[in-house]
Amino acid sequence: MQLDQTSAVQKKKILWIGLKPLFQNAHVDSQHIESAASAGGLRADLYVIQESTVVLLEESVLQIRKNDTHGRIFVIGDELPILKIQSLINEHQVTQIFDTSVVNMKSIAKQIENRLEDKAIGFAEVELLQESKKQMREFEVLTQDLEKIVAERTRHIELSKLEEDEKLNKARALIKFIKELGLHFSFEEILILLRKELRKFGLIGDPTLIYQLHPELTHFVAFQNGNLTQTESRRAIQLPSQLVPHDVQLGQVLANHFGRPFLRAIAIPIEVKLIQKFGYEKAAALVVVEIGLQETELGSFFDFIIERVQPLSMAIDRLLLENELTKSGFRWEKTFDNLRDPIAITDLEFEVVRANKKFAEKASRKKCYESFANRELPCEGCPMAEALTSGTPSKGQISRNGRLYQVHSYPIRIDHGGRPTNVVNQYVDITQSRELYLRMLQNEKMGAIGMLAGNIAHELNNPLTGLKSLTQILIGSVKKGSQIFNDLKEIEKATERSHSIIKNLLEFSKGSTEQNTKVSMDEIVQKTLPFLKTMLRMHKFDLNLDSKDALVFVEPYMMQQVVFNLVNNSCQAMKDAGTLSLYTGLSEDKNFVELWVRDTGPGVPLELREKIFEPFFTTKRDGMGTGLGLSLSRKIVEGFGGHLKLVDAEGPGAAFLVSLPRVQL
Amino acid sequence: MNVLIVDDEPLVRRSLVRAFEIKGHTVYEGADGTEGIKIWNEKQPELVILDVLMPGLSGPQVIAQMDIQKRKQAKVILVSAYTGEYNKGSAKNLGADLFIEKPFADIFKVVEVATDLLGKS
Repeated sequence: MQLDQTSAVQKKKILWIGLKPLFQNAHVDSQHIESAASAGGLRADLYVIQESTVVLLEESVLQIRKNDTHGRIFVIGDELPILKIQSLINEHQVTQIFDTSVVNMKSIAKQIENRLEDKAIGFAEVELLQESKKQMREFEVLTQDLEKIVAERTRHIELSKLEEDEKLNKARALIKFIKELGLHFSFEEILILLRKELRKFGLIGDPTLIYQLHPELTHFVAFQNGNLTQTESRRAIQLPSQLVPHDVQLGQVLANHFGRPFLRAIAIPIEVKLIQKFGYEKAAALVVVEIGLQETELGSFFDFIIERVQPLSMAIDRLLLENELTKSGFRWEKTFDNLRDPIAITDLEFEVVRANKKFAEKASRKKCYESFANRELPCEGCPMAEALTSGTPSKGQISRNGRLYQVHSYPIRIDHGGRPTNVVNQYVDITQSRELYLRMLQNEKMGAIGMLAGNIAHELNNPLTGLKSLTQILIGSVKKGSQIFNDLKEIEKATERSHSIIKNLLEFSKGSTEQNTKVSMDEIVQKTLPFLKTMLRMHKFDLNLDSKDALVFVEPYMMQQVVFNLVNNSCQAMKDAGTLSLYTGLSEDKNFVELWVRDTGPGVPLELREKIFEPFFTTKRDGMGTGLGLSLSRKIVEGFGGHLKLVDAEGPGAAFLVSLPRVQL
Repeated sequence: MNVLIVDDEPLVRRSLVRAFEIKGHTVYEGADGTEGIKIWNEKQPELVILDVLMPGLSGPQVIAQMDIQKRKQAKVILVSAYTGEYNKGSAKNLGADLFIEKPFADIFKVVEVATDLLGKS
């Protein structure tokens, strides 16, 4: 039987091994095995084997597979044993086996046709599969290569991560070391820190710090029996400037100094640039470590040291400098505080930046005039402004609490040629020298006046003597009670008055150093009056002496000076013509003799009421007054057990009261 | 008695001359030390009143120039307006017998004191 051929079947080349091919186009090989074998190079798309015996069947399959390992083989048999079927499919890649006892031929043909329909796909699938397999193999190779690379890379990365971690740890350790260095403020602390660091390497001794500010004095900071000690040596020791792995010479020096052997001392030079710049040009420092490491360990030890030398140097250098600065700062501060004179450094606004203890016990950022003179405005006579304007040292005088200071202002320029930024004020207390000077001046003045007065007195006394004597002779030669007699008597009295004035002048100007005597205040005033007349010329003079019989115990000429000073002050206070009142009398309790001097001038402002008694306080222009008059007068009066007060200053006018203890005859 | 007055102040000389003349003495006067020593040598007065401070020779210098023998026979009184500096003791040191300070309280007292001084010897 032959079936209508589907197009799929027609296109295919079919080799039919058996007797009755089901397809027209099939090349029938009726010779069975022989033909199949002879078919040799003949390749078919499809092989169909229909044999009567299993042996023939197998042989045909084997023949086909000799030439075509991939071709599709269909087998049609009758009641084939199951083992045979399995063997054909598994060992010989038979595509399909049909059993005629189960399916009829028509159905077989149909199924083959269907399979052939699939074949187009099937072939493509096979090729694809093959290609895929090939690719798969290539891919596998590639994957393996890649895996190798990845493994290698991973290993590499892992290694470098370890390295990096190690580096990072090293860097962290270094940073920690540097940070800790920054927290340590003594050589001891630094050495303890360094010792802790060095402990990481087993066989390493305690570090020793050696430094010199000058070559002639070497300092050692070392652990001795576990304790840190600081020692010095005046021996000339040359500190090496290079890292020396085994400094025998230094080892000997150390052995001599510490009295114990120093084995294998490594000298690590420390750079001390700061302290060298500070003025110790020959300063040098060294850290010495004893080591017992193997040669192989030395490399990492040196790396470790080299990494730490710089921060260590900086820390030690900083400490050396700090020590020196503290020392010199301390010295300066002590010097500053122990100076005799108050000294203050101020800024341009008078604010005290620094001051010594003499200036103010407690440091406070106040204006200099506030803290020193207790004023609200700059002191009169302060030379600071001038010093700042001129840029050169200036001096002036200020007074504070009754003391006189010569102020020296020195402008300070931080940068060369710039404007002054601060002023150093030195306050020299010249109260005493000024007082002495003025006293001396006063004495000299009085001495000169005394001499002059003496000369004048002599010159006047001579003619006065003649005048008086001759008058007396004439009086004797005229009739008593006559007009001429009376006239001559008046002349004689005038010569006597002149004589007493001259005598008073002489005594007053001598500033006599006589003993205290009992004298009436009225008498003192009267004796002073002749010298006051000139200054009283332009004022009205109101004199009221009412203590004639009351005595005081004073040195008369000094008391005269007091009267003179008070009247002189009051007259000078009155710029225009006014009234000067001078009263004497007893106090209410009659225990004191009082002298009042009152003027009609402007009075004394409240804030000056105590100041006017301070030495050198004066409102008069330069050269007009020494500022000593009132202070001296008060001193004199108090010396006699009395008081001198400004009692009435409300104005108009001021009144001064002298009260002296009254004494009995 | 012969009295010599040496003083550079005319009024002093005149008053003293008048006072001694009134009492009946012979009085010579010199206007300064040089004139004084000259009259002293010429007249040999028994009493000399000498001012201390004078132009030319001072009182003490005049005394120093006197002949010692003649000086012993006379009395010398120094007068001066400079008080305090001179007293009886210093008068002796300066070679005088007495010191009287100027101005005189009473001119006639001076004549009395001088006469007494002569009377004592």
